[in-house]
Order: sequence, then C-alpha cells, then structure tokens
Amino acid sequence: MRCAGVGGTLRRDVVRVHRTNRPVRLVFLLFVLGWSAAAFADDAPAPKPQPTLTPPKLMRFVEATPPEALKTRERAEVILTIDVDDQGKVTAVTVAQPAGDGFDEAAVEAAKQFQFSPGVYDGKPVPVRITYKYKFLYKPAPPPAPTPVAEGAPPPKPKGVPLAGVVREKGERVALPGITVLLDDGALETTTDDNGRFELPDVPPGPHVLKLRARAIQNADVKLTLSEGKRLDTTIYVSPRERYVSVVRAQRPVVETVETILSGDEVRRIPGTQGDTVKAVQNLPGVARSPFGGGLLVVWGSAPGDTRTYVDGVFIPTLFHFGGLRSTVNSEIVNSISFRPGGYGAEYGRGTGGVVEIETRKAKEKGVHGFAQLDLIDASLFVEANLPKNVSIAAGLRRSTIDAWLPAITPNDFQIVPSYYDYQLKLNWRATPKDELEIFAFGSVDILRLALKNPDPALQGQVNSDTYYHRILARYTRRFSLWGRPGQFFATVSTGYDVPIQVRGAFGNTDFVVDVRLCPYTLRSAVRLPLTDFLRLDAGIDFEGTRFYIEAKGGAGGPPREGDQAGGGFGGQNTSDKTTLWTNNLAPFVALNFNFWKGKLLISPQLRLDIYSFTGYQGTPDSYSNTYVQFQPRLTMRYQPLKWMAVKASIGAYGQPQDIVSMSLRFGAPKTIQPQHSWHYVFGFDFDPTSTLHIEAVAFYKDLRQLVVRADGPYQPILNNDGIGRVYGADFLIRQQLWKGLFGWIAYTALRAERKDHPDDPWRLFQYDQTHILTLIASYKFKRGYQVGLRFRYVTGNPTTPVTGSYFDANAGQYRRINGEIYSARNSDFHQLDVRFDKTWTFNTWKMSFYLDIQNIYNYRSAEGVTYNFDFTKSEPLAGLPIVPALGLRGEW
Amino acid sequence: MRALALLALAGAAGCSMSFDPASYVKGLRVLAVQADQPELAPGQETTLRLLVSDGNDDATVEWARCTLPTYPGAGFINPDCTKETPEPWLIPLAPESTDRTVRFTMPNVDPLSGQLGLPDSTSGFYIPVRAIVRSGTEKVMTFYRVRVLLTISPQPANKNPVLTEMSTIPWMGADAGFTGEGFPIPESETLEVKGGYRIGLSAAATPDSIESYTRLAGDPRDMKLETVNEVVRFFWYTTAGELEREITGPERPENTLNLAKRPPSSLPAVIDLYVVAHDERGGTSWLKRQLRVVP
Repeated sequence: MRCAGVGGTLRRDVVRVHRTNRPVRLVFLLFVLGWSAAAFADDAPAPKPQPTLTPPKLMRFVEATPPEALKTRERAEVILTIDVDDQGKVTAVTVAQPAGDGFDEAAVEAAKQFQFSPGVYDGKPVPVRITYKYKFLYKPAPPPAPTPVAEGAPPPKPKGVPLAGVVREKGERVALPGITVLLDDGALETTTDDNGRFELPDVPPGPHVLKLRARAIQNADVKLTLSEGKRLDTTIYVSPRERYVSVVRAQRPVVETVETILSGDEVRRIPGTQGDTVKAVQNLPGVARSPFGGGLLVVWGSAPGDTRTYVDGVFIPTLFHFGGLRSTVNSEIVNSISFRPGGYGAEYGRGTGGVVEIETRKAKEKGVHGFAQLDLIDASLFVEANLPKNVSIAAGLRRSTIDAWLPAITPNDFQIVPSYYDYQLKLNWRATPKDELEIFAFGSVDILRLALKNPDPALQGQVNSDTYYHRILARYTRRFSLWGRPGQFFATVSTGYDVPIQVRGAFGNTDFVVDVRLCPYTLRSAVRLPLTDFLRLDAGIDFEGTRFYIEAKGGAGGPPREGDQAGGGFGGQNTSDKTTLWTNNLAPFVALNFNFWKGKLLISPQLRLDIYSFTGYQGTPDSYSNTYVQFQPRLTMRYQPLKWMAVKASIGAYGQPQDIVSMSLRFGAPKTIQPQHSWHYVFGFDFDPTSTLHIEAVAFYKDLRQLVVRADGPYQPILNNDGIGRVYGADFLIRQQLWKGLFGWIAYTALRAERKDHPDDPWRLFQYDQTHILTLIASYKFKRGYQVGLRFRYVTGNPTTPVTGSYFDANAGQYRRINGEIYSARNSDFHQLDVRFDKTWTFNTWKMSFYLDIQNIYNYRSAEGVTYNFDFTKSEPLAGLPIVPALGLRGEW
Repeated sequence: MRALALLALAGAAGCSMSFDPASYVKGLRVLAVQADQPELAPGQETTLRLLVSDGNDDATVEWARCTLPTYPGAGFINPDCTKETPEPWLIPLAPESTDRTVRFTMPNVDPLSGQLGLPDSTSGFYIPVRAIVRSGTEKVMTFYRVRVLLTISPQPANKNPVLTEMSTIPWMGADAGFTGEGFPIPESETLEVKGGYRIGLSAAATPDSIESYTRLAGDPRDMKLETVNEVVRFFWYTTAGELEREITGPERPENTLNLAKRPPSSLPAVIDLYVVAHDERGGTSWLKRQLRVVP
C-alpha cells in the first residue's frame, strides 16, 4: 500500500557524530506521509469503524558519512523515498529531491540500513512507501576539556585552531586558485583550491604571518592573530603581477591572409580614442584617416560603405555615433576585434572593402561585476553576473553628455544638438561542456537637431535626423569530436529594425526627404569538419534578408555621390518615391583547409556563391524581381618554413549588391543597375622574432568593376555601372604585444586609389586617396596604477578639386564655383600627436580610474578642406580640430 | 547626415568669419539680371538688363547664349558654358554691343526633346544666357537662365515680382536720426543718417508678386500636376555697414543695417543700398536707395 497525502512530522533529536578530530552534528527529520482512506456508505444502519494506518516507526537510525562538501556548504537536505516491507525492512531507497555533491549517495547508503517497525493497516502489517528528509548540518564540536597537567610538568601547548580563508584579486574580486599559502615562513603550507579557498587546520593560537606566493600575484604578507579555541575565516585581497588581463588567443578555426586581432583590454587606453576599443581599428594599416577624425572606414581605397561590420556574426549598419564620437557597441562588452582589410575568406562577402568583426564576451567568472563611467562625451553603466546553471548575463547602457555643453560653445549662427544612447543585453548559457547558447539584444540611437539663427526664408523647418538600429540575435554553438579531432557547428539567427538615415526639410517649394526604414532577418551557420589530419572542411550559409521602406523626395539628381563636382543632388525635377523593396541574399560557401607538414603549409581553396534577389514596386506596372548570381572563388596560402617567418598570399573575387537608394525609381535605374564586383590580390610576409613582437608586410592590388556612377549626359537612366577602380599599395606593421608593461605598434600604408567614371574618362584619384598613412602608438604601464600613452599620425592630405573661377547665378542670387580637374589638388598633410594619462586606484572590492586624453597636444590645425568666400575669389583652409582635452572618471567592481 | 554633423562641428571649431559677406559690395559686382519678360515662347523677344554696382561706368559686357544642356551632378549650368574661348555652343548676342542691356529672342527649341536637359524643380526648361562684365582689371561672369514658355503650359508666363518700397522700421532709427513712424526711403533723394548706429529696414512687394504656378511632381511613375505658390526672396546689398540678414522674405521682410561695422572709410559718405527680389522661375526686380552717412 502506498500512503497518500502529507501527514505530520516526527522530529528526531540532534545526534552528535564525531569524525576523527572534526566533530559534526547531524540533524535528522522524519517525514511521514499522511494517509487517507475511502469512506464507504451503505444502507446498514450502524456503519463499521474506518480502518486506520499506522505508519512505520524508525527503530534503528544509521548515520551517514557526510561528504567533504559539507565543510563548505555547511548544510544540505536530501529527500528520499523509502519502501518499507511488512517486516519493517527497507527494500528500496530512491532520491526524490537531490542535493548533489555526494550527499545523495551518503543518505541513500545510510537509509538502506535503517530498521523500521512495519506499517499496520486494519490491524495487519503492510508494506508502506514513505518520504524521508535526511538533513546534514555542519557544526564543529566544542573543544575538549583541558588535559590535567602533572605537578612540575611544563604547561601543555595550546590546541591548534583552524585558519581558513579565500584569496581574491583586488578590485576584480575574482577568487584565485593555485596560490601558495605559507604560515610563518613555511611552518605550515597549503594551496588555494579552484574556488580560491584554503585551510590550515591546526594553527597554534597567537600572532602569525601568512605569506601568499605565486607567479600571477605580487607577494602578499598578512599579519593576523588567532585566538585560542576560535576558528578564523578571512578574505585576503592581492594585487595581480601582470598589468593586463592576459590575452589568450585561442587557435582560430579560420586563418586569414591579412588579419589583425585586438583584444578589448589591450587597446582601451590608446590615446585619441577616448577609451573606445573599436576606434583602435582606425589606427591599423590599410585604414585611411577620416576627415575630422570621423568614423568613416575607408579601407584599402574602397568607399566607406564597402567595408562591412559585424557583431557576433551579424551585420550592423552603423559602427560609430555621429560619424565617430563613439562606437555604437560599448567597449566593455567587446572581447576582441578582428580587422581584415581584404583578401578574406568565403564566410564573408557583400562588400568589396574589408571586414570588421566584433566579438563580444561573456560575463566574467563568478560574482557580480560592473562599472560606471563619466566623461565629456557620455556616461556609461555596465553590470554583469554569473547565475546558477552556467548562465551568465551582462547589460550595459550609455547616454551622451556632449549635448549638455556643445550648444554653449557653437557659434551663434547655428546650434547643433547631437545626442545618442546605446544598449546591450547579453545572456549566455553553457548547457553542457559542448553546447552553448547566446542571446544578445543591442542597439543604438542617434538624434541630431540643427537650428539656424538666421535661416534663409526659403528654408522651412529644422533639419533633423533620427537614426537608429536594434538587433536581437540567438547563437547556438556545438563542439564535437569527429574521429578524435575537434569540430564545431554554429548557427546564428537575428532580426532587428533600422532607420539608417532620416532627414527632412524643405527649401522653397522643394522638399528634401530621405527616410529609409528596414527590417533585416539573417541566418549564418557553418560547420567545421576535420575530415583527416591534414584536411578540414568548412561549409555553411550566410543569408541576409531585408524589407526596406523608402520615402525620398527632392531633386532627381539625388544625394551627393563620390566624384560629384558641383555638390550634386538637390537639383532637377522635384520627384518623390515611396516604396517597399525586398532583398534576399543567400550565399552558401565552402572551404577546404589543407594542412601539410604539421601546419607549415596551409592551402585553402574556397568558394562563395552570392545570390542577390531584389523585388520591388509590387502591385504596380513597374514591379520587378531581379536575381543576380556572383560566383566568387578564393584561394589563400600560407607557408611557414621557419618558426618565426611565414609567406602568405591570397587571390579572390568579391561582390557587392547595389545600395538600396540606387534602386529607387527616382533614378530610373532599378532594373538595370548591377552589383559591383572586384578581385583582390594579396602577397606578404609575417615575422615573429619573439613571442610578443610581430612584423608584417603585405602588398595588395584591387580591381573594382561595375561601380555605380552618374550618367555623363542628360539622359536616363541617371545612374549606371560604368565606373571602374583600381587600388594598389603596401601595408607594414610592427606590433609589440604586452611585454614588461609596454605595448604598441607602428603601422604604415602606401597606396594609390583611382577611379574611372566612364570608359572615355581618364583615371582620377579616389576621393579618400591618401598616399601615406603612418601611425605610431606606444603605451607603458608603470607601477601603482599609472599609465602613459602616445599616438602620432602622419597622413597625406585628401584630394580636393581646385576652384579655377566662379560665375554669378543670377536666377539664384549666388555665385557658383567653376572647377578644375576633379581631385587634381590636395589638402595639406595631416599630422597630430595625442597623449593619454591614466591613473587607477585599486581597492579591495573595487577600482577607480581617472584619465586625461589630449588630442593634438601641439595644437596643429591641419587643413581638412578649403573654405571660400561668397564669390570664390578668396580661400582659406578649413582648419581641423584644435587641442581637445577629454577627462574621464570610471569606477568598476 | 553625418557629413552635415561633422561640418557643423568643424564650423564650431574652425569656420572662418574673416571673409566679407556676400551682402557687402566692393569693387565690380553684378547683383542681378532682369528680363522684362522672364518666360518666353519660342520667337518672342525680351530685354535683358544688368544691375552692376556703382562706380563701374566703364564696364563692358559680352553677351552670349549657351546651347549645351546641363545634367544631374553638373549643377545648373553645363560646365563647358563657362569657357571663355570661342566655342560652337556659345552664340554671341549683339556682338557689336557692350551695353548692360541686350535684346534676346527665344530660339525655336523643343524642351521635351531633351535638348535643354532635364527640367528643374519648377518643371521649367531654360536657355542660359551669359554676360561677362569687365571693368578695369576686374571681371565677373554671370548666367541668367531664361525660362521657356511651353505651348502646353497650363498657366500664363511668369512675371517679375514688383518691389514697391524700401522702408525704415520705426523703432530702429531713433539713434540714427529718425523719429516717428517708419517711412519709405525716397528713390530720388539721399536719406541722411548718423554714422555708427543701427538702422532697421524693410522691403515690400505687391501682393500679386507671389504667383502660383503648376508643376509636375511626385512619383516618377505617375507624375501629377500640383499648384504651388512662388517663394519670393529678397537679397540685400550695401556698400558700407553690415546687414544682419543677407536674405529676407515677404513673411519676414525686416533687416538691420549696422553702420558701426564696416563703416565708410570717411564721413560724410554716400552708401548704396539694394534689395533684389527673386522668384523661383527667373523673375527678378530690384530697388536701389542711397543713404548719406554723417558723423
């Protein structure tokens, strides 16, 4: 019979159990499930008495041997289901609610030996199943009575007491395993466990010195005093010896020909970046300098929009707030940034420029951590924590502060009010050692208000812009073993909502509106199969779909384009367009990674098949549905004959779909505009004379085809694919990773980027061509939390189109410039020195940092362009930013 | 938009205020070109006249019309129309004349054939007329686009706006010597004002100067006719002093002349004040007044 329901509770007295010299008290509780019985009604006038159940009674209790974990957990409960037969013997014990850590097994083992008096039902012994709560409680035994001392004998030595504790890193509060703990120069010795805990069981009372030694920490000596008969538990905070979190560069599954990986912690303090990790990319070879230090990524002579940026494998439309103030992803959540200027593998595409991949991190191990930061640009708050069941969570929020003070210093004629915020919320769950799930929501909002004091009366309304993007992604990663070799599978899905551009205004009777809203949906998945010792197959798909809503109004000339001489745009018939467009771009890819001579020779033939699909103006006579296929073979090779030297090369085809604004009927070209494509040729060397010094030299050539350009005459369509381009040059990089507190790099690029807009046109310079780009970065961390860094840059001035004259436009009442040959002149060269100073105070449970970042310390006003007077008869340089100090304060725990 | 933000920030940091504004007239300047009839059908005639800054009585003018159409991205005039060498697409007008006025006859053109390029935002097609004005060593090239009246046009030809007066503003003149109500500055007299002060000014046009017209606009797949009102703007110029606004409009016609800035080189001095009205379709008119600035 089985008892149902819950009845009363029988409680046992506390029983003391002694184990060697470590007494333990265990408390037992006996739960007896109540019973219920059916009541039977019949027509008999006098009902029979209801039968009753007497539960089994515990006659012989057996104490369990508690596991070691009781010392740390100090209590545990195991709920058992026990079958008692009609003899009172235990026939079966199962765990109904476990406690883990060995408690379950101990409780079961003891319960099997229990002896009960049998349960009785209706006067007869019956088998019964009961629920029993076995409770473990840790309590040290009181000290024994002092031993009597014989007369004349020396007093006995006092009994030793336990000394226990945990060792944590100062500021970070992370528990440190493997630390040697010495008592009084080694009289007693132990080592901290995985949780940072240690214990010395028998320490004589009195003053002592506890010494903590390990390579990872600075030596720490702690004075303490133990009292007789009293255990001491303590927490000791020590300072790490290494001045940075060491960068563990795990073996990347895909080896790129040209790739630089920056770790978040390493580059957070580069001068001139205001602590923004992502801005460090702008200091790498191959990246042209953006005017006014803005955020345009011009990589190996390609237009800014040709380089794509990803966060955890998902494309994001905007990397920086307001063209360069701060990145839209908080640096705190960035684990590493991978930058590939070109010649990259088949997993990425849809851009003829480079690839920036931001990989975010999980929450730090154990505990709750976070930081708060305030400076003249924005304020940030970030919190992260590890939860049970291998779940970690991190959340960040940032809001600009620049809008609070910038309007006060801008000229009276116009007021600029830029404000922004961004957010990140990330959840990681390691379901098993091989399976991991990530859910990540993040986004960015930029709001710009521009007000003119004495606007032209024809200018109606304010020119405002609200741009933003939001994403949510889910990624599943599975690590597996195939024939004894590690393999990996991952799949990432995402969706979001973007408004990448939104401008509204009116001039006279001409509205100008560009309002683009889109909803992306993506899937990226790949599997890496180690087929043999020398061959790994990577295969996957890269899918991006987008639903665009476009509203555009203005002159049929459309927005300005690279190569425009007269400022382009806002001219021509007043047209408007409101439409919904769909793009679905699917790209399966495959790579064979051959590995010969134990990794000395790597050859990887790869293939990416980009299928672009555009559908628009559905339900109208102009509806269309076009599909383009780009076959993109790629080949990379790396040969490392010596441990410190390697030769590398790659050749590959890269494509880029049309930009969505070009697909508007306003330009009369949506059905005829084709995707762009290019070939990348790369050849170079790597040298690693030491484990921390890396030298790289790379030569490259890019052939660009089918660039979208304006027609060269007054006929439709306004845009076509006549443009071609070529880029050739070389990158050099000398990079010192952290070594005795020093890190930095020297990056130099020499290149030439040219365009030809139409077949009969001569070659001309690309708008962002910069012949020489030199960047020197060095940072040194002193003791006591001081750090100093500097950055020097020298860059050839950007091309500019000279003004050779002007004419008065009598219809408009203003002068117009007459241009010389396009981009036939240059601004003066740019050079600038930035300095950064950091000081960190580390307390036991938190850290505080102060930084001063001074850009352009010798106040050289480089020419970012040219300004002219009203009739273009006088000019003067448009000076760049002056010396700009930035102060910041940060607290983290 | 990011470029706009960057430029705005750059303006905050390094934009130069050292250039004279366009409203300050010094040396040879062409301030306006007016056609008696700014919109003509093929074969119709009009007179074009220049408004040239005073002190350039010896200025000579070469007139020509350009036959090259413009295209998107090139601006309002085909760049090749600015060449000063004889070119087949530059047809001289009255080559024997060097006057500031010239007679112009609209050629027989068919705008809808594409020979005049694409229409502008008012759905108009234009013939560009060039005037090169020389005085001493100075030279100014000017283009005025004469609008073509289409045979299918649903509205009458555009007219020039009519400016009626340039006035003082009553509450901004007492220091300079005005009292009482504001008043129109007389055309035939020189108004005496005290130097070093600010003077409020206003311009007015007749109500029917703001015409309505019909244009094609909207979705290129289905362009529709829409009727809009002209936007008339007043451009101000002065040979001394500094104007607070370079451009005003009928809804907000007030301006201020600050005689403490860019004062005449010596006093007393006569300064010229101009206001030029433009509509969106080539209509132009102007008023000129003179102030005598005394200590």
